[in-house]
Amino acid sequence: MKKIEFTLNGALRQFDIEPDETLIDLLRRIGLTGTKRGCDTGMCGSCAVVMDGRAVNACILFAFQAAGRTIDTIEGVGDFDQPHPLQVAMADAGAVQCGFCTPGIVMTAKALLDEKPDADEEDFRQHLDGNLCRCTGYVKIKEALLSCSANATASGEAS
Amino acid sequence: MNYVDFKIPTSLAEARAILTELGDQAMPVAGSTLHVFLRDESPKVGVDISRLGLGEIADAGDHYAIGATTTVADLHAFSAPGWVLNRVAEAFVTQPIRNMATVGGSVVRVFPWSDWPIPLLALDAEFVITGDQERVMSAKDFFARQPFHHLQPGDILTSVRVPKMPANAGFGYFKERRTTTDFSRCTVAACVSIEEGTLADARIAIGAAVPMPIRMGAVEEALKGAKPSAAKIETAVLNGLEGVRWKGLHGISDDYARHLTVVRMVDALQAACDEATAQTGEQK
Repeated sequence: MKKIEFTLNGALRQFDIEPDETLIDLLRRIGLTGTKRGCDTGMCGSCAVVMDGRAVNACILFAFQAAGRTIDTIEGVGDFDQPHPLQVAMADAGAVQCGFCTPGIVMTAKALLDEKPDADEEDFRQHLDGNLCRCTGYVKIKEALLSCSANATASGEAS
Repeated sequence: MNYVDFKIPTSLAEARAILTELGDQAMPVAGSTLHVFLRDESPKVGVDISRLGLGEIADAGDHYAIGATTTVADLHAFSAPGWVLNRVAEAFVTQPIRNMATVGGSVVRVFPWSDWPIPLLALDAEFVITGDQERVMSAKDFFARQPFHHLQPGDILTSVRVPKMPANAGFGYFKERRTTTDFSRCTVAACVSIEEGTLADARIAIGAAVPMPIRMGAVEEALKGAKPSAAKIETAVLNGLEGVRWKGLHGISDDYARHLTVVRMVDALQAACDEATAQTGEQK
């Protein structure tokens, strides 16, 4: 085991990690199970977390690569009592069925909106191209995410 | 990967010292997106080279100097005169992977389906390796074999130099895949320049349908000095395939890989010619 530290959901924390431990293994080991393990090859996006402001796949990132960086997971975004507007929008639009892909989608969309609050449909298509959903299709997901854009709010499209 | 330890250097000198000391036991790690495809289970020390100040794109006069750990997302977002790699980046896997993968990692170890070697071959890029002395390799030499074999212990690929496309040039790029995350079956990049209505230069590279990415020299020679027409392009492509060893990936036959690549070579050259013609305002 070797010690690293990084900022996790706003708090600087220290962790003992194995050299070959992936970030998703570390997160789930410490109880942050909102980050889902899907394909384990970086192809499905269910494990997406935000590192230094950008969505990354925690299943192929080694935990040591997080040292000194800022990691945000779904647990830092919102919870049942205080959900993030993206989470509310996903629920309201019926964009959640089994929910397995939802944390990854919320994290990826949040990274985009934090960088570009007025993201349009093309932005969402491009940034969410690594998030697979096998339940709902993508129309309701797209509608939910677009409703959170300042662009949609400004043009009166928000629900 | 079987990592038994890791190091996180914060300067190029420190990273080089670590890599020199560890030798074959060291495994440089930047984006880590390709490690899932490596089958080496020997004990390795992961050396995080993503914090060495090699993540910028600089305007260096006649070329852009891309730091080796520049992410594909940054290549995609970059916009400047004579810059076309954003088009390659756009077709590169998914946003999270674009956020992680680096240009250096994408070229140091070439997989049959690798995207980046092909446009970098067509653009005549150069590769800067920093060791005890700095050396620069042409794309043709760099990709003549697995590029990591060029690196001695302590060597690091630090920069990729990509010539700026001149005003009379055009670029065409095609990558055949079934889904966004799919591996390429055929990747083609073409770059041409037009002077006084004829092709002053034509470069084309192919990959995924062949074991290692290659330039198509015979096609290039047939096009230089010619007027850019659809018939001339098709003839040059069909007559320039001798000696190519085709290798279909992911369930497609070698013959279909050849067919697909021929079609896309014509498309890429035509797209490059159309763009160059539009740039120069000349009539075909």
